[in-house]
Amino acid sequence: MHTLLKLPVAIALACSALAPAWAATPIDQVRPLDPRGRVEIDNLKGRVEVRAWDRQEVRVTGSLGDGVEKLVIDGDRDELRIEVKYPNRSRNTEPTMLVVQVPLQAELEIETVSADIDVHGVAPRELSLQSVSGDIVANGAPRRASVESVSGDVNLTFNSSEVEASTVSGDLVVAGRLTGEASVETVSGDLRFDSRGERLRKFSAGSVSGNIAARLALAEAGEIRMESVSGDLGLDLPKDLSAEVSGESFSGDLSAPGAKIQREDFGPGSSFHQRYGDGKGEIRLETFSGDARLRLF
Amino acid sequence: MNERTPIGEAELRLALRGLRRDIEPARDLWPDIAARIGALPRQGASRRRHPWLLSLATAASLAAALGLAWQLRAPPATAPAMPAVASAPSLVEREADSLTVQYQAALRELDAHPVPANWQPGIEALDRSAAEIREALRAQPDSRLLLERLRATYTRRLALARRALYA
Repeated sequence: MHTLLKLPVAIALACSALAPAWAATPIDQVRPLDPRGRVEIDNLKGRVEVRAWDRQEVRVTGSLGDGVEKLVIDGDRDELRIEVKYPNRSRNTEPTMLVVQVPLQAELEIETVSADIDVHGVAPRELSLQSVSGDIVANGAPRRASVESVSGDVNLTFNSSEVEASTVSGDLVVAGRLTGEASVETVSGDLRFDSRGERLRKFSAGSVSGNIAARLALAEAGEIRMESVSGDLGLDLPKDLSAEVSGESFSGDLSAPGAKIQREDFGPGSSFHQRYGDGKGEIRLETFSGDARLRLF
Repeated sequence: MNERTPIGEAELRLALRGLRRDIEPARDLWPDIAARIGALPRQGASRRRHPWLLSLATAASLAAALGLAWQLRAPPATAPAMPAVASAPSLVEREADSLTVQYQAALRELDAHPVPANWQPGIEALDRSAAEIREALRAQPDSRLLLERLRATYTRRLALARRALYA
């Protein structure tokens, strides 16, 4: 090709190579961290991905959105803080994508506003994830997990002994080998819980208008409490259940195997009380207008 | 140093109500209280002179029995004398009303600031839910379930509004 003809092609190629740099600045930084150190990540919008690896260091890759002030990583081997700093008037900034590799057992705390959170394969003592409108997907084996979103959907798969999770309008799914205690809440989002056959000591679930479906097993002398205003409650438990079960609703329908539903003579309101097995555990279902159903499998 | 702000005080008021809620009596006090209320004169002259005193004392006892907070204020002068045992349901309703007044006052302070658009779905869901619970309370005014849900919904709404200040 003639040199003069090659020039526009070269310019076009150079421009295309530079284009991503205008839109976002690549990130690639590494810091040492103890195997059980702590990592805090703060990113307003975009996405935060966390992956566990077997190194005693944290690697941060991804791209910093156009208009973002800077990426700050400070701290030491015990505790690292990764924060995407936005200018005071941050309305025109582009999303920042962070991919963070952390030691398997490092404690993790992530906070976003609209950024999605995706955590995979971690096993920390403490895991805390919070977002306002971003979706949260996480799997791993945290000993204790606390997850909260407002309007984003949350999907968790944990092997864990203590889980707290809540949303407002987003749907919430919590599954995995869940033992010990679990507390799950939504306001208008639907909620699904499945302990994959594991027995819990204590389980509580609540909503206002969201429907709740829970499938779990109860440890000896364990306790389950589920309540909603207008959302329906569904509880599936193994046939070897040993518990005193009571249910109450103002205008919803109640059902439980073998239970006689008592209805008020005058006006609305119904309830039941049923003993299963030795009656060692305690289960209470309560709604205002939602239906509540217990099923044994 | 902790600097007191109007926002902090508003949240503190709500938090204090939550704290008081947790004080449960060691046993069910209601039977004794109901018996004492039943023994009181229904339309005595002294009661007409100081209806708020009796109402307040009765309500305070009930509040202790139910583990609920009681706003230390007299009922309106035009309020009808409380029927003896039937006063229990109205306490939950009054608690909800009182909670709503405090909540709305706190929210007025917090919502003066603009909220980013992507926070709106959550805020609207909470507002709709609070309205749904208040409506349900009109149908079942003695429901502790509804009162607890209302308290939780207000708390989340205020927390969100507070957090939006820093968005």
